[in-house]
This record gives sequence, C-alpha cells and structure tokens, in this order.
Amino acid sequence: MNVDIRVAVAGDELQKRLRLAAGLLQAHKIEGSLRPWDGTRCDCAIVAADDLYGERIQDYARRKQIPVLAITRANDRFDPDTATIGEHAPLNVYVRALLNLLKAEAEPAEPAQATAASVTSRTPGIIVLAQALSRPSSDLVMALDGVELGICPSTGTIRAASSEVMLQARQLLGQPGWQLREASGGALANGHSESLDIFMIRAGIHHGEALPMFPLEGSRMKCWPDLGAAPDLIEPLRVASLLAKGHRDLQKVAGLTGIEPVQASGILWGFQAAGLIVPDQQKMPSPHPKTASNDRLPAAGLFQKLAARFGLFQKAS
Amino acid sequence: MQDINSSAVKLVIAGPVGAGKTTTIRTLSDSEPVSTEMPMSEPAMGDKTTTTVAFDFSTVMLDDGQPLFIYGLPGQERFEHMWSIVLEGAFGVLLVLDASDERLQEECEGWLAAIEKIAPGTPVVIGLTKTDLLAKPDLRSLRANLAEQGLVLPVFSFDARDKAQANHMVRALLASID
Repeated sequence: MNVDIRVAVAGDELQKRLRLAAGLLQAHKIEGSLRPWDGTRCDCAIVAADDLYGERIQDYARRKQIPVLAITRANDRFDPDTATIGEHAPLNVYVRALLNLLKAEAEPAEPAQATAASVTSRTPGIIVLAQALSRPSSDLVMALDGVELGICPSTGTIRAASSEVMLQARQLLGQPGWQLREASGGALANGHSESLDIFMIRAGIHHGEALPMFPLEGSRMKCWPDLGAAPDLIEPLRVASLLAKGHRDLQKVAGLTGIEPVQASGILWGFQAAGLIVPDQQKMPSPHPKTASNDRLPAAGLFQKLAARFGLFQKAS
Repeated sequence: MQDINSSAVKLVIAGPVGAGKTTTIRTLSDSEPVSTEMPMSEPAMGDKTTTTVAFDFSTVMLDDGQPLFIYGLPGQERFEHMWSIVLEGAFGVLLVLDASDERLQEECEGWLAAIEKIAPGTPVVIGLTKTDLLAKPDLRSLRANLAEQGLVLPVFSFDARDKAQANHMVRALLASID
C-alpha cells in the first residue's frame, strides 16, 4: 500500500525523524512518501499543533476528511484521541501514531507476512533495528532501560559505554521496548566499539528461536558481512555465500548450510540488523557473485579435502 | 575442473607491497615458507625493510597428504611479468590490502582488474589488514563501491598473524566457490 503523507512542520531533526518513521512503515507493507504540504489531496498530514499555520491546515484537512497528526511540544507521548504526538517521542511511537492515523494497525497481516514483525512496542529490539537499517540510515542510538547502543552503519561499528554494557545489550536485543532515535553528534564516541556485523549476527544467533522466521523472499544481500575477526562464525559465512549466489528460500538455505531453519533465520535477522540485507525492490544494480570459470574450480573430491583442512563444514562450538 | 592427479592445487596470495602477504602465507603454512625477501631498494615502510622480489612459496598438507601450494605474488609493479606465471592454475586468490593505505580503493580496483585480466573467473576474497591503525574505520565504503559495480565479494578485516583468522579467509574463498 502506498500512502502520501504531507508535512507542514519545520526543523531538520523533526523532518529526519518523520522520514525515518515513514520508512519503518515498510514493515507493514506500507510505502510512505513524505512531501511538503501543498493543500492537495493526500492520505494524511502532519502539522505543528502549536502554530497558526498548523491550526489552519487542521481546519482545512478536517473539512476534506484528511487525517491529521499534530505535533506538540507539550509532552513526548502519542494521544490517539486527539491525534497529537510529542515532538521528542521515540521513533517507534511515531510509527505507531502513523499507523493509527492510517488505520493500518488494525488490519490483519496477510498470511505471507504474518512472520514479519511489526514495529510496535512488542517488537524485539533486533527487529526494530533490522527494519530501520533495511534502507539507508544515518547513525542511530537505541536504548532500553538505561542500556544504550550507538549504531553507526556508515562505519560498520557499534558502540556502548563499555564492553559489559555491550554484552548486556546483546542479551536484551530479543526483548521488546527498545527505543530508536537518530544519534546527535558524538553520541557514545568515547565508549567501547565493535564490528556491527559480528555483534548483530551473534545477537541474531542468540535470539533466533524467539524471533519470527525471517522473510527472505523479496530481500537480497547487498554485501558480505565482515566476518574476518570472527573465525568461529562458520555457518553465517556459509549462509552469506548462499545469499550471494542468489538463494531466496530460507528452508533451502538452512538445508544447504546443514542447520535448523530457525538458526538460519536468526543469522539473517543479524545480517539485516547490520544493514546487509535490503528489500529487492530498492533500485540498486543487481549484484552478482564473481563467477568462477569451471576450469579453475577444484574437483569435488579436492574441494572436500580443502574444506576439511580449513574447517569449512565444522560446526561452531 | 582441475584434475587433482595431474595438476598442483594452488592458492595465490596477492596484494601491494607491505600489505601483509608474506605474513599471511607464514600464518597459513605448516612450515616456514621459502621466501625471496630482499632489502628494500626504496625507503623502508615502517618496520618493513625487506620486500618479496620473486615470490613466496609454501605448502599446507591436506588430510590425505596431498600438498596445497601457496604462492605469494610480488607486490612491486616491476615484477608484474611474474603474475601470470604465479596465477596460472590457481583455484582462488586472497587479495591482501592495507586498510590504512589512503589509496585503498584504487589499489583494490587495480588488483581486481589485474587478476581478472590475467586469470578471468578466478574467485577472489579480499582481506584487509591493519584496520587497528584506523582511528575511524570506513571499510563499508569499499564494500559499497564493489556492490555498486555488481561485485559481491567477501571483504574481511583480519589479522594476518592470527592463524584462525587467516584460515577463515580461505574458508570464505571455499564458501564462495562451493
């Protein structure tokens, strides 16, 4: 479903937050396009509750039966009765407000997408991030109960105040309630830093059984995870090689890797939470693995010997 | 397909001078590599005072005693005439690049183009060394650039001195072939 959202609010930070929230509607199969208010027909409007221009748009929209979300500085909550939201409300609250406005949340999920989680207060943190990073994103901060992570997709790193906090965060990423916001300059700049790819893949493996099955159809791997510093992550390496060859069937990927589908699914959630998997409809050149010419490939028996020597098929301990 | 009875099993480690090719070969090998290291004719690069003038060579024994031959390409351009000889018959290439090199992107593109020209279709895995020297690693731009060209290659940061990490590079190469 495509929705046309018109915006009549000022401020770069707020505009960014609205763009991010609109992007997260994709988890509900909603393609939200954000454009400035121009008085023409649209699916909903977002206005400032505290200025005259916003009030005039609200009056006009009411007459035209256009739903309006009004942004107020009064609090950081969403009030569905008055359709107002606090300017500094967390990103997931913005998503909930937009869904409420579009009456989309009440619609039952189609069977095909029933496994894909929605960005709601019940969504595990790793999926909230996976959905945010399924499209280009600026640096983010995600937080739960005082545990804070800095997510830097641009550099492929993740930051926390200390390695202990990082470990604690990994344990908590399967839980709901994480709040996501754009990072302001220097957020967690002096803390502990790790590879975003490795952290999220480990988190995906850890929480795999508690997560919905990853909707691999309609997605593709835009680049390999950087697993160089994690030689214990052998199955993710094999899953990545299958995705690079164009496999899109979760059961088949799991079967070829020799792991349970739920494990493969956890690995894939990890890939997406690291920003490595994108929706297939995103306009990018269609990646193709560098194809090996047949006369260079080692014979099957030799391949097995090489794989055995270097531990390609060994199970992670 | 390569006939294991008639031809050697060969893996090539490529990359520019000082990236860590010789160290990678030493780490992967069962025994000390045969090395043709000579004092550098150009100014020393940090602690590096020697360079490979022909090629490094070493072996790894597979389970049934069959040797895997590992060759290192000389990184200096004046030894380019060696490249086609060394790459002949290789089942794959580990391209080792220095992540702290300002010309990383150009080096990567240049080496990939050279390998493809000399030995078309040879599978390649890229290993980035010295990432610990970067104040703000920006390795994603390299991956993004390859992706824009439609190349989905493993690009791993690794420590060439670490046997498990060096082995993991070979695993990635094998996984991309499998």
